[in-house]
Amino acid sequence: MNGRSNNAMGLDVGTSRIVTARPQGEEGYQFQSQLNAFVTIPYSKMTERVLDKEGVPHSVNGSQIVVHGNECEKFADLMDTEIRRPMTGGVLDAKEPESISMMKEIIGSLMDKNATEKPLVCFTVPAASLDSSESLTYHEATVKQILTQLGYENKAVNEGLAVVYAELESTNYTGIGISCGGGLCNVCYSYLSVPVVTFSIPKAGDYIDANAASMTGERANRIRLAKEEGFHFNGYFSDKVQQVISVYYDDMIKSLVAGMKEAFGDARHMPKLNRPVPVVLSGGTAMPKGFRDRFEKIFNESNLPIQVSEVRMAANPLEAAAKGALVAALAEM
Amino acid sequence: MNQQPPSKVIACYVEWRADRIPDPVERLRYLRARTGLSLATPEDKRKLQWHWLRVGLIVLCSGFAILPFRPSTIASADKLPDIAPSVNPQNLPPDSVWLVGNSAAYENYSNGLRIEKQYAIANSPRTRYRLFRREHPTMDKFEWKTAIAGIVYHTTESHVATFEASNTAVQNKADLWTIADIQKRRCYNYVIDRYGRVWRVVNEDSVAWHAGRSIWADSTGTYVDVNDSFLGVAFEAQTYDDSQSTATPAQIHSARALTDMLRSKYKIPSYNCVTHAQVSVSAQFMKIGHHTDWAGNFPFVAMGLPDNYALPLPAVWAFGFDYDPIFVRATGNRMWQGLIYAEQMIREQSSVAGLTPPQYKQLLQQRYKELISALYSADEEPSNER
Repeated sequence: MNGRSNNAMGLDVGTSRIVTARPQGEEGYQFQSQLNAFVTIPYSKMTERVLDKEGVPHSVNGSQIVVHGNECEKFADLMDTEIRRPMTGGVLDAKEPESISMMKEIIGSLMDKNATEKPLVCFTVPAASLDSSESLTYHEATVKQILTQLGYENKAVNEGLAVVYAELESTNYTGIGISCGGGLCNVCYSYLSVPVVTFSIPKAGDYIDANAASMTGERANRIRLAKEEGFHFNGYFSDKVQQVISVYYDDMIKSLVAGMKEAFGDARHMPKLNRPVPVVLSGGTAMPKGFRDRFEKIFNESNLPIQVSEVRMAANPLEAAAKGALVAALAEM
Repeated sequence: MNQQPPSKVIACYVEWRADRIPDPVERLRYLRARTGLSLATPEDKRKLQWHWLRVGLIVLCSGFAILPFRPSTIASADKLPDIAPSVNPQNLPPDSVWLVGNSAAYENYSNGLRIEKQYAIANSPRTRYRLFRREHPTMDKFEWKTAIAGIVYHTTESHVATFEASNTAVQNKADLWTIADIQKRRCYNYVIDRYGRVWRVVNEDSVAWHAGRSIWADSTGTYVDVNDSFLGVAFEAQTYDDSQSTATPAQIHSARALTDMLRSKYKIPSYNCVTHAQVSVSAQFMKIGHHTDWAGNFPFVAMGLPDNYALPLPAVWAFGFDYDPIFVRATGNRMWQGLIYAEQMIREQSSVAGLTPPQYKQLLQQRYKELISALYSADEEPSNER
């Protein structure tokens, strides 16, 4: 690694989680993550003392204590309330008044406060959606501003491209990186590290949760837990929740593949390669057992205008985008 | 966020080098530096300039420098269009086709072609036109030419009935109306109706107003506004919502016979047999594909021609014209090759010139504007297009 610098950091800013990646040793990586969510509880001195003692990330806002990050789910259960999230659909939630301050808190909680020299941070941003003309400029500029206020030099990297940087070094960063997150599925077709086609679709984990919740009458949180803890693609489900989740997963994968067909068919600069390219799947929504097989089946049925050598899962699906962002940061130095 | 991929020549070299870098971050750093739109270091620029200089010397030494295109057999998308290709038999005109019968109403040719002459009229006579030099065409470098240099294929975009026996009477009526209208507007030299009848409308020795603002180039030079230099041949056809025109088998059969006759008579190389969409430009918006007839599915092969959609579009590589999504949708996959090749040429030429592709395109566009301005202050305004 030619004396790899430790002064770089990857930051995956996801709707559901924020993940950091730092170099560890000569070739390793160290990851940390926080749930990108918060919950407010009534202020009391005792509660604040307990939170301080337990090291639970929180801040005081007038008569309320805001608990953010991983612990907020527990508190939401205790208080029987829904967690709030700074982001929705892959970008900052314009309707959430605390979105920017909470993002700053959560990102700040992941930073090394004792570092003498602040690293260069590459952070992930989603690609524009195929279905909407919604601008991503505000989101990117805001995350940039947060990092700048925290004192970090920073650069944005497309989320799908980050997956390519993390996983496709063996093909000289040529191939398709897909990140299936909470708010969006991001896709990037990269050729020799150049993001030739990038796009996102607004169907991802949250879409599955919300629709399955409305079909079953369960709360979205409960659906998410069921999805993360026990769901797998096995073709037969006795449980209604599992059955409904499976239906919406299928819908998401079909939309993703249809999006790829549209984007790759339309793209002006699609390189004509004389060899097939790999597809790498990552992100929390791609984690259920059997997801890769299901994706590959639908993908193969769709006659995409590209040849694919393999469809595989990222080595660490939850951390691939952060690792790729770190690789981008290291390459920038 | 979407970016242009590197050209194949650059990609091959860059990938070869990247394969030799063991460290993934170093490799990414190298790739990102070398696949950007402009090369990162002066050293790279010098290397690339030397590379192209060497290529140029080899080309000159091998005596092929006067032939600009890869011949029309660009079948493989994996190969770049050369500025100096080898000779290809498909560029040569077909065997001689000769007149075997001539009356006031029609002409017959040795290949079975019959040309109906009832509607034939004269228009402005072909006199001479400027053939600009191929590389960096400017107003002060041209030759006067008189010979017909090529054929542009069009569609009439007139009403056509569904091709079935019950519609014959309706279609016959439409044919005559269409031909009369075309005659009135002097749009094309020839029209081929749905049943394959070939109608001469504007005599070959007269200019038909078929291509207006247009650009093409061949081994001898660059043609700007091709009415004077190219014949216009229209298929009676309509382009539907999917932007695809269709020709009947009879039309294709006759168009092939007509093309062979014209190529034989005027010694027209195959790479000068092109579609309106390939030559048409909007000078106002500096975009190609101002007209999109035969943008993506002209039956080149069925007509005994190579797939000329694969030829790099001269409007792009010589004058830096751009294109928009409507045109791209209309072209489908086939003209893409020509666009990609043209863009690759732009990128390669720009790197040799030490400019970014947008800067280089701007330079070419300026050159076109100057040329057009000088051309039409010297001549009259160009002929109208249909």
